[in-house]
Amino acid sequence: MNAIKVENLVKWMPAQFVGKNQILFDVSFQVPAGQACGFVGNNGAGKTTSLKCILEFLNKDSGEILFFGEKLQVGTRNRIGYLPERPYLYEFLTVWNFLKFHWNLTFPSQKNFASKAEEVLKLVGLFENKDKVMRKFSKGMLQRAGLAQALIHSPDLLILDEPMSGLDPDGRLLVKNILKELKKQGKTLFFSSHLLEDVEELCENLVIIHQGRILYSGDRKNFQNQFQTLEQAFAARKAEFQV
Amino acid sequence: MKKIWTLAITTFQELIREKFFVVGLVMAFLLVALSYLLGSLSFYEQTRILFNIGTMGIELVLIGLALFSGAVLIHKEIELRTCQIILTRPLSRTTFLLGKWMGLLIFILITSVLLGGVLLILSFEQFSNLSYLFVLIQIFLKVVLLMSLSFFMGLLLRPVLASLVGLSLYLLSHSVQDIQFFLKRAHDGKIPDWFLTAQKLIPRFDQFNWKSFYFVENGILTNSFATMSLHYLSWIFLILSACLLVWRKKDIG
Repeated sequence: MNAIKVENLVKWMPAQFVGKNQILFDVSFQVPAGQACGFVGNNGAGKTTSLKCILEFLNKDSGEILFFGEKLQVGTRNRIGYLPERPYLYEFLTVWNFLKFHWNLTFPSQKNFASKAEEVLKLVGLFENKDKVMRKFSKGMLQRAGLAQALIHSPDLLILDEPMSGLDPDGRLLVKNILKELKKQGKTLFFSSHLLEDVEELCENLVIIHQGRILYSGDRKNFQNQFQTLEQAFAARKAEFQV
Repeated sequence: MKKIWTLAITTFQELIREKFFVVGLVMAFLLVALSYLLGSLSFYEQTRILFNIGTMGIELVLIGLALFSGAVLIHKEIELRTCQIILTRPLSRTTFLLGKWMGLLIFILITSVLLGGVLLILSFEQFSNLSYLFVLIQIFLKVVLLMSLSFFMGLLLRPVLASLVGLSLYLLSHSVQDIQFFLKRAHDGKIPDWFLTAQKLIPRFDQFNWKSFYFVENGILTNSFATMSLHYLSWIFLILSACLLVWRKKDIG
């Protein structure tokens, strides 16, 4: 079963002055359920645009996207948690009220918010700060608050855009540990990153995008194969593509 | 409906924490205080001056707040990627937009009631009649219309341009009768057909401009009030529908 299946995704964007530029060229890949998959590429390769098309923030020009075998609908959204790269999280709220806000948008009539919020805040290590206004949070704490938001409704699939970027080593370690814990719980993780060592450490699967085209989609170890590090394998595949 | 309410309340909480709200509120209180001081200089015209300058001050500040907050609100959500998190939830784009608009509406309503109340207290309740309420509702609906327009333009343009479009409409619509006068003189007493058509395509603020003590003294007919309400509410409905149409297809990010 695939958590995400993308087939022949094409996206054109308006050029700066006149005309259009093609950003995504027949992008196709799968993310198997219950595993972690890294979405890797250089800056500007099309990672964020692909994620935005997948989640329907951008209208695709053609292609098909399925979540757990279904098109994205209200019911499917309950199974997805998402955190974009460094978003603004209504920082005038406490992290508790921020989670309550998202809970009310997801389950307007369910009452077991407190126990779920406590569980999630303990997982991300923010329970002690639950009554603190998020304006006073560090960058790492905000990132963890964002993760808590993505987890509050117990999604099966977690989509994260550059979850470790901009964090100091302690912050990165904390976020990585949370992701490892989520893997243990059987969640599907799909996250974009240009930090290859993080992907190497966390993911069984890999999708590589370069200049809007998919260079590889599948098992990470197979891809790495004869190379010592993912970085070397990535560089070799890119060089092959240029030729 | 509960989702719209959740979004509206958070939007309202966000807006009252903005610096421009505090600045606007201070300006409004200064203008109302000025009207009180100017009024106290004249023995006979005290109430008239207080009312005329006070309501003008309230309207100007409310319009400033509405144009700015309407234009900025969605733009900020998109730029800072907050709406991406919200739209991953099981709610439609329509619900999101209505929630944000409703938040703005609550913001303008509470500010209007607050400022209207202060003016009433300063007048020692001399104009505490139905007509004063009608005047306040007329200002409120006008501001909501401009807020909705600025909200709509904010989906298409940068906030500064979106606010300017709203401001231009406000000035243009208040000048329709003046333009008509000059066109009549330029065209031998006849108003050109294009102008008669064009004036039907914009809301007519000039026809329902009741910020004068004359209306409180002489009263406002219930018929006029109903016509004004219908006129403004129709425009608000039209603009809001256009917002929803644009937002449903808009690329976010």
